[in-house]
Amino acid sequence: MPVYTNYKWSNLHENINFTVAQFCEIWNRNPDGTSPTGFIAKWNSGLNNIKSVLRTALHTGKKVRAVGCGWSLSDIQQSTDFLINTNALNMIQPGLSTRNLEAGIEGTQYCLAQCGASVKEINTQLFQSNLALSTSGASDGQSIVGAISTGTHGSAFTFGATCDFVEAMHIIVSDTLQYWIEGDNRIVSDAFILDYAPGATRINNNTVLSAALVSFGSFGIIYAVLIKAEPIYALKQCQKYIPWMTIQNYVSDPTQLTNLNLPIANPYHFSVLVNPYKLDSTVVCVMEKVPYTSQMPPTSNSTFGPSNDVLHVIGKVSSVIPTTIPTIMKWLDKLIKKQYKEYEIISIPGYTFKDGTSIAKGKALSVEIGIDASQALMAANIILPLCGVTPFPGIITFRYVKKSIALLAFTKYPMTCAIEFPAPFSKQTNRFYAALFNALDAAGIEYTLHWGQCNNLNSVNVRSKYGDVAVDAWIASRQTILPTHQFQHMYSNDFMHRVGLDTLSAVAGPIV
Amino acid sequence: MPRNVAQVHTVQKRTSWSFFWGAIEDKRFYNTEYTNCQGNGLSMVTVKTNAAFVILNVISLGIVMPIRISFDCAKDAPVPPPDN
Repeated sequence: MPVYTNYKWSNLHENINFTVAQFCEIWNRNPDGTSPTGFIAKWNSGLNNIKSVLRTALHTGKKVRAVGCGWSLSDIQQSTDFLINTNALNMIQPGLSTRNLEAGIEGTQYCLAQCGASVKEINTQLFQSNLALSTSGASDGQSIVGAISTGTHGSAFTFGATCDFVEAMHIIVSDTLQYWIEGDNRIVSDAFILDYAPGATRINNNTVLSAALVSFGSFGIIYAVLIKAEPIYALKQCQKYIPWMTIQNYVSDPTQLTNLNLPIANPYHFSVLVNPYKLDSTVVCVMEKVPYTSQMPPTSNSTFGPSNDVLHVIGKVSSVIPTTIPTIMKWLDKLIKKQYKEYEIISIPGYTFKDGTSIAKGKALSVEIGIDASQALMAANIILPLCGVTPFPGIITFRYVKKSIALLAFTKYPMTCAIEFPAPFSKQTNRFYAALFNALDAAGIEYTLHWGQCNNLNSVNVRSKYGDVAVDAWIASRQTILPTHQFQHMYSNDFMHRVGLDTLSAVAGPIV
Repeated sequence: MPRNVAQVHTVQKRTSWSFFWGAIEDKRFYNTEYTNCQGNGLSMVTVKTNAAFVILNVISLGIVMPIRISFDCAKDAPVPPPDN
């Protein structure tokens, strides 16, 4: 397997950069580099290659972290010792046979995916099996495990975050310790474990599963996830430009959306994209689930558009002359509207949630907060005037998601309004984020923060935002999976220490 | 590039130099460890220049021609799942 020493790693948005002693790229290959024959042999070759890296790391006392597509904007993946690139582990198996399941469980809607499979790859495979994910983030470029384990929000009122469609996972701690984790009820059979997770110990515990779902790589290497998909459906979508003065009446109570007289009868998704300097025309998107038909619109062809460097240029200008930001943002509104046109279409989820605000892949920053939807207007009335005081060179999006089952999901309210602030990488953007946190705190608005985006989380505010009960249950679950101090150190990093989630167990346990 | 091939996301970035209007070229990219894609092809190649490279090229009358190349390997194609 390719191993790069002193590798300079950058995330997709280039705001997190560090040098790692060993960057290990894991493939589904035999030790001699040949490709194994047969699905299960190939599946287990990747498993053995990860075990090999973990054996070396454990015996040399090194810390380990895994990365997927590098979409995270926070430093949760940072490691100075071993970094494992899992992207090439992209095997996907839609549908499980009765042999692989406990008696009485129907397998057609289950999908087994290796950690490096991207949401897009999974969408493609599911579509070929007449299935679809129950929800998606705004984009589909993330690896599935990267998306779920940072708590990426979904897109539906009626379904939680993306991690909520994961019903089991395979976690590797070392070459001799691995787990297959499910909720209280068994899903897969012992024959499945023998084939796909040989040597894994079963854990059937709702609390441990809900802790491991959003665990940002600190429980071990998540090798595979078992997804519960649903029969293929389509989304009837309506995107319109509506003044903020009108749409503000709905941001705290999306159940009233039918009063907008859009051609959507039973809203499933609602989002508002706001250019804070062009409030006479926000981009409002409402969708409802409809039966799938084969008459879907074709995907668009590539054309000319802004390059990855455009964000860098805007960031530089806005840092040097912050007063130009409102003018720049008014001018950029035409570009934004070119990307977010008015339309009414019917399409499948895999064609719908494929770009979002994260499509700009240049140097960028983003913060995403989760607040109780009932407080969304109150928050907006703080945020939008703040953009006049501390200019913000970006856009603001509001999305609505049902409460997640994960212990540390940032979508923790009965209906969470996820407000995202993507912007170019610049000092001015960071100044705005600092002002934003201060303004929300001063106003007494309770909010959580997306783990995979820029944040100001620390050991104090993690407990105030997520609650002592959830944090303590999460730490206890981590100590269940990582039973010794040696393992707890191995999967810790500066981020874990800063947010106070690397608490060691009372008993150190044996050293392997 | 083949369509619908995903990246491994180990993006390699190198500056490639050519001299004397291409008479001497950089051969470090010819099937070396940089381009070890485990039997797969590349999924992404980006070639960029910048102001400094352009100035150097103009001043040297084209004798020195640096260029910035980024590339990434392709993941494996989907494997048919077992029938059982």
